[in-house]
Amino acid sequence: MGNAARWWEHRFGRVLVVIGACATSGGIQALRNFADVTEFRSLIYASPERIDTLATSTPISAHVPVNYELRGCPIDRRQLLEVLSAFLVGRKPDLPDTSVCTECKRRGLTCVIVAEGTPCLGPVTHAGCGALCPALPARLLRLLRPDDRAEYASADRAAAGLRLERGRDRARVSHVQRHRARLHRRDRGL
Amino acid sequence: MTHRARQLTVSSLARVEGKGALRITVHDGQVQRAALQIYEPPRFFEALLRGRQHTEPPDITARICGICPVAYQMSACQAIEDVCGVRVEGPLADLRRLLYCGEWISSHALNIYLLHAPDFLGYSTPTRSASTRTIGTSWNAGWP
Repeated sequence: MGNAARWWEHRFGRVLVVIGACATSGGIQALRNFADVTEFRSLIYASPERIDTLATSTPISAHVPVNYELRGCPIDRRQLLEVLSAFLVGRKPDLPDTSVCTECKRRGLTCVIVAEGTPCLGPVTHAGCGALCPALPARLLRLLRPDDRAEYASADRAAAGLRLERGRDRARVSHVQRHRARLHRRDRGL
Repeated sequence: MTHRARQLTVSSLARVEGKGALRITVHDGQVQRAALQIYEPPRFFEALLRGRQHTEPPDITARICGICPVAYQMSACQAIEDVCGVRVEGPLADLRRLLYCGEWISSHALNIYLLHAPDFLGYSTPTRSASTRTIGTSWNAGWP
């Protein structure tokens, strides 16, 4: 346990619940992790030398041990109520640990990857929102954080089997692939 | 009047969710120096939006603020419409107005009941103020 983790436990006690995409994944500003922050700074600010910021945006769990993560932007209020009521009665919160595909199936929705060949990052998106976007005529916003690395392989296969015509979809898939490569490097201690 | 210097420090500005600090140096009743420090880090939305499809900015800019996302979402829509020379009128404009008004109500209610009132009325947390009826009676007492 690092110094930050020890300080945290001493200061706030044993159970840490982090809420929202920024706290659980670094948020949308974590896109800087794949870019040059110095360039960003000089692009936006008239006096970039006065702006102090980190080169990366990272989840809280990268720094201190986290007990529960409520993902998404915004979070799902049923999940928050579940955590709070579980704590009130002294039981473990029941949070999903699968991809959003399971919720999509339970809603009885037709899989857009299989049926239409439309790229969807559902396989690498954490469950919890109730499969909001696939039920609407909208693209999957991927508001929850991709997490389980076993799912990355299936997303890769799904991506490979599709004709990805638009740059945006290709960029999303390559983002997932980069993330997977990073997980691999971390596991191998590189 | 005596020769006197005072340093006023608000290390966390509660009115803006603690996202900044204020330091004021007062000398003989005159403000000598006022420094505002914004310690919330920059998020670089302007840079992140480059090279994206015109359909993406509303979803991205909505994440600038969790209290007033519609303001940013609407701004993104209007910016793109400006570029494309599109003018939104009729029922769609009314619907947008309704959405915006909804956010104003929600945002102001949040501001009053969660951010300001507990502080003004001496409650340590918003949940504590929510658990009593005092907050309602205090407001009503001051108003006709």
